[in-house]
Amino acid sequence: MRDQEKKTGRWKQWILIALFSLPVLMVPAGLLRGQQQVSETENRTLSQYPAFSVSAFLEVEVQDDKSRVGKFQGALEKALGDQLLLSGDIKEWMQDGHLALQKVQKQLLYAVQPGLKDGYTQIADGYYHYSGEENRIVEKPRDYREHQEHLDAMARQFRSIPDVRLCLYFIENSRVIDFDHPEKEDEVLTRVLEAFRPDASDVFRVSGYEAYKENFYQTDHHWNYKGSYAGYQAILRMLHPDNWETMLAEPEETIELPVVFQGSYARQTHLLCADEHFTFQAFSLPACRTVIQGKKGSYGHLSLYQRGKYPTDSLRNHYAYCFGGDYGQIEYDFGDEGRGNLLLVASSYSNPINALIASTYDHTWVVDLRYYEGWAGKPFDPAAFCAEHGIRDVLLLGDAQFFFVDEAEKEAAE
Amino acid sequence: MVFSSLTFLLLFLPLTLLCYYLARGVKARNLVLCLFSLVFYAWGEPVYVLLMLGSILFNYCIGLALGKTAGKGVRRALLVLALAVNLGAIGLFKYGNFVLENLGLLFGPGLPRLSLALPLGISFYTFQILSYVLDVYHEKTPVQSSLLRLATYIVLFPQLVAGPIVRYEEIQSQLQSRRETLEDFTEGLRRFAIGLGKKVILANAMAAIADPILDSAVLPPGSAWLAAVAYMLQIYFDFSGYSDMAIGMGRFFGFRFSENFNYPYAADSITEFWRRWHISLSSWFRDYVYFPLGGSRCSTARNILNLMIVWTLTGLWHGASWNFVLWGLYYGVLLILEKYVLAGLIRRLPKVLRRVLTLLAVLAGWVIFRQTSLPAIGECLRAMLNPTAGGLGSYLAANAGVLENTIWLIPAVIGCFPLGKYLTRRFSGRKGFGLLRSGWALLVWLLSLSLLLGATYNPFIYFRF
Repeated sequence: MRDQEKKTGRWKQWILIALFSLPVLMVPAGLLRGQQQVSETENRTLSQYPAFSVSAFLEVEVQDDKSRVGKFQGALEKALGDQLLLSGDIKEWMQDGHLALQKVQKQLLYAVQPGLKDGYTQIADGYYHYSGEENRIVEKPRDYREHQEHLDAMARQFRSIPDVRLCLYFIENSRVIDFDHPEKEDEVLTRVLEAFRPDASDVFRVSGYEAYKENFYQTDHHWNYKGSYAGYQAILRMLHPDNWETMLAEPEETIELPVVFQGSYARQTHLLCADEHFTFQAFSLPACRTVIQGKKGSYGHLSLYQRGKYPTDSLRNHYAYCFGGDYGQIEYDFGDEGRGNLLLVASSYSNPINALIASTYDHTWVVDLRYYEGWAGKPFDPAAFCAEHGIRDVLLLGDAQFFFVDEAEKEAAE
Repeated sequence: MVFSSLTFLLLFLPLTLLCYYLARGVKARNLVLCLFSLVFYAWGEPVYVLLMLGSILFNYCIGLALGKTAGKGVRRALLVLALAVNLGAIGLFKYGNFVLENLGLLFGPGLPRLSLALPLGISFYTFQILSYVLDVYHEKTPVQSSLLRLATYIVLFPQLVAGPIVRYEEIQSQLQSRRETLEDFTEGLRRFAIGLGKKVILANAMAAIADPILDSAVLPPGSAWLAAVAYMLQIYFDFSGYSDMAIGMGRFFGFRFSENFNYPYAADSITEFWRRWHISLSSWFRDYVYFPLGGSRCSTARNILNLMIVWTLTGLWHGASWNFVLWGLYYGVLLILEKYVLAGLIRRLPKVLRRVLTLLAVLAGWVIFRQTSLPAIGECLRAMLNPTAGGLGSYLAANAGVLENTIWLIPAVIGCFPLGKYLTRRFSGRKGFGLLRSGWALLVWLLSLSLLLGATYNPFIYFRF
């Protein structure tokens, strides 16, 4: 009897050891299945098992958590996390669990403290949900004062261009507007205007969270088709105050594609939470010649999207693919009709309306200061550029990031 | 390599176990353990494995020399040499920059800084080595003539980086002969899984509450208590979890390590707290520093001095920073007060009140331990003394990651007290209890692995584990 009990006990122990060992088998099982390249759920490429080398083993790297580990060892740990059998499924379950737990906890908290208002909820470093809306990601206003000298240096360059009309269009977004206090004066705009002292200026006002939702993508920092068209109208009014209405291009149609657009915020936080369909407007513009960084070619893939031949993969950045990416210089030639030349200095906010604005000038050069020097091999000199290309109007178009941070980051990178 | 990494759990440990059980005889098994332990050590800072090997060889020779020398003077010289080299190494790597920094404050800047990374587990293995050398010197234990056995003792990976500090005399016989049984192995599995769960489920959740609050430039209103309690729980589950894993792994290989924690937050005095917290360290200091200084068998003044020396050293052992010294002194003062001033009063208090007061004193101690600067310590303690300041609800509503993890406070608080121990004692003979225990450990093991995998989902780890 006792022997029998002992035998059963041993079997139970072996079963326990076998059950504990099951997760270990996920390593060889993952290898047998073959290494996965991309995780659509996580929206990123997956780490691959590293090849062993003594030098990689000995080369110590400091990890995100400040621990020190060999290059091979760090890569192996990452690969294990990505390549285990079922790792993708387990991660998804855990992520769902976290989100469900957050939701329950929040409901409990609100039940205990009914007076609490759903404001900003931090979901990742620098990224937030606002007002409990989990399908939208926003940023919070930053203190840009530390970058004042970069703004001043940029402003000095543009203020010193002779014989041009300097125009400035500032875009308010979640980087400057506090949705809890949208009535507060936009000090950032005041400082930009004081620094540049432009001949003409206007601002894309965001009066509050509702206005923001109307004009910006759910998970992207850019303005959507409504926002960019409103911006285009205001810019045209500023550039051509006497006859902007006759120049204004009306959209022929608004096309909503059955593809969900996960924007830059979603990609950076790995939270694919948007549920909006990618929407754009089609315009009929005169033919033009475009030269991208010295090479003739077409900018963006708007015509493909119009014909319904757009990519459908979940990792796609539709904003850049449809409207065009970021380049040091793009030249638009709409023919010599005495309309003058424009220098448009902007970040990616201008991409959907570059051609619309350019169609009201003979020649337009769109310069992105983040990439110009990398392509041209020399820093951008606005005065020399304007003299060389016979520029009549200069338009600076961007948000706080464009005026304060991009230059500072460029300098830091150098 | 840390125990709570996928590499360790899914590759290193299974491979070590496989090779260990394929090897026949204690010598071969010691060799497997020693080699795998060196790989384990080299994983994080490969070059320091040479330092480790040098240290093993040096202390092996010192041991042999002590064994062969009868002359008191020579023996003492050998001991001084061993102390100088071992403490010199820890002094250089751990305290070098701290000393230079403070000399810089005294004599002005300009002193160079050492660009030395801290060798993994140096505080632990140095104390283990010292226990061997000191015990051999005092002839409490025989000299280890086998280099392999001594090396296995020093580098044994389960307790190499985070303790418990296993004294040589404790496992000397086990290095020579030991028996691995299926019962030991499964008991080790259960213990290991619970330890992993303590670290990955509870300690990490508590860190996700404490870190964002305590690392913010200004403490969010009303959050100081939450952060301090979360940190108190984090450090307990982190450390005791590692000890549980070490003890569990020890049993895989047939070793029996002493317990390192015994529900310290259930203590009803500071003296008792230190009998229950990091037992291997406090007993090491007691036996190798406090007693040789005279312990309590001396005048009151001398005893007070002895206590202050021991607690300053205990503080410094935890890290090269003034807040650790302050933390050590804080406990020194508390223990002196408890022993010489408040003993009578404390005895008359109800046990519940004694426990609450002890917990509060320990909590304040953890604030000193966690916050590295005096202003930060002051800010946190002041905020705790002013609990009327509201705003915690708004803070939690705005920080989903912190809010989410507050749910784990409940099992964490329960886990600090010996409920599990009580249940085991009460139901251990009952049918199905063993199955329940194993099922619980398996669940914790699977959840811990899932959380570790889940943590690789998002780079913003602190917001969701």
